[in-house]
Amino acid sequence: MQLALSLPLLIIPVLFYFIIAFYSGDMQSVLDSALIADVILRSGGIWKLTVGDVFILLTLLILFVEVLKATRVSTVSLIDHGLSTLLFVGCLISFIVVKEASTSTFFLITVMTLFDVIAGFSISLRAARRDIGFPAPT
Amino acid sequence: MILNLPWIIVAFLFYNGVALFAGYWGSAPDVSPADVSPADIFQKTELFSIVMLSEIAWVFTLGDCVLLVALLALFVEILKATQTRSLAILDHGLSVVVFIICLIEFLLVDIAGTSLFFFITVIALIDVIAGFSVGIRAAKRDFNVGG
Repeated sequence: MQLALSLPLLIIPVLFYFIIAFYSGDMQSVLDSALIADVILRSGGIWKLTVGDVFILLTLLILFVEVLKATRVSTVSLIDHGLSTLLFVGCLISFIVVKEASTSTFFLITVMTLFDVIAGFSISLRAARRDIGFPAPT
Repeated sequence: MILNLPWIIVAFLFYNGVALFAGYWGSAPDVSPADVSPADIFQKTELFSIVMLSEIAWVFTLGDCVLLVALLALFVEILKATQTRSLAILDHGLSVVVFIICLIEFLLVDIAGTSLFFFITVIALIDVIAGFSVGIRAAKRDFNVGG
């Protein structure tokens, strides 16, 4: 269980994105298509929710979980940060090299993986400084 | 203060400086500078060669020199990673930026498409990962009073 939690969860939206991209062919039109019918809000304004917005929403939620996980300072979290870095490298290379990934949505996902890397070790360093580091009960 | 910059950037600038400008002074007069490939500049420019005791000639090329600088910079980086002040966090962040720049240049720029530049990129990646791993390990053993 602890090992499963130490995997970078941001890989979920990335995999999800690529599965949809390779099955649909034209990713940009999929991302622009509306997921639900237009919602007319109380103010009279019309809210359009597209598939791309849902991707960003999902990634933001997972980024929150990642930041929460970054407060742990166990050895497992070191592996977590390392894998996060590798995920970011993979995202950056795909954004540059793969045609399906050249959208704003994927760019934002890439930026969020970068935030995961930087926020991850910054928070862990901060947290570890305040930690006296008694051995964890096993 | 200057110690808190990512030192890998020295090797990065060294490589780019040589790759951009070496064609102008290193090549024969009848060869146009644009025809000199960066891989050739680094592999074929001998800085010195020493005959070892085994009577084998050790050839030290410019590329070896760049790699040596990168390794020394990595050593300084790991040494710096053991400090846990707030400035160290900024240092790690800058290391990430240097790694991103290296990776993008390796993928996109023609003079950077060599094994040597790939090694510099990998060293920058090791700097990032080793940097925070060592930092977190060191911080756990640190009893900061009023830090």
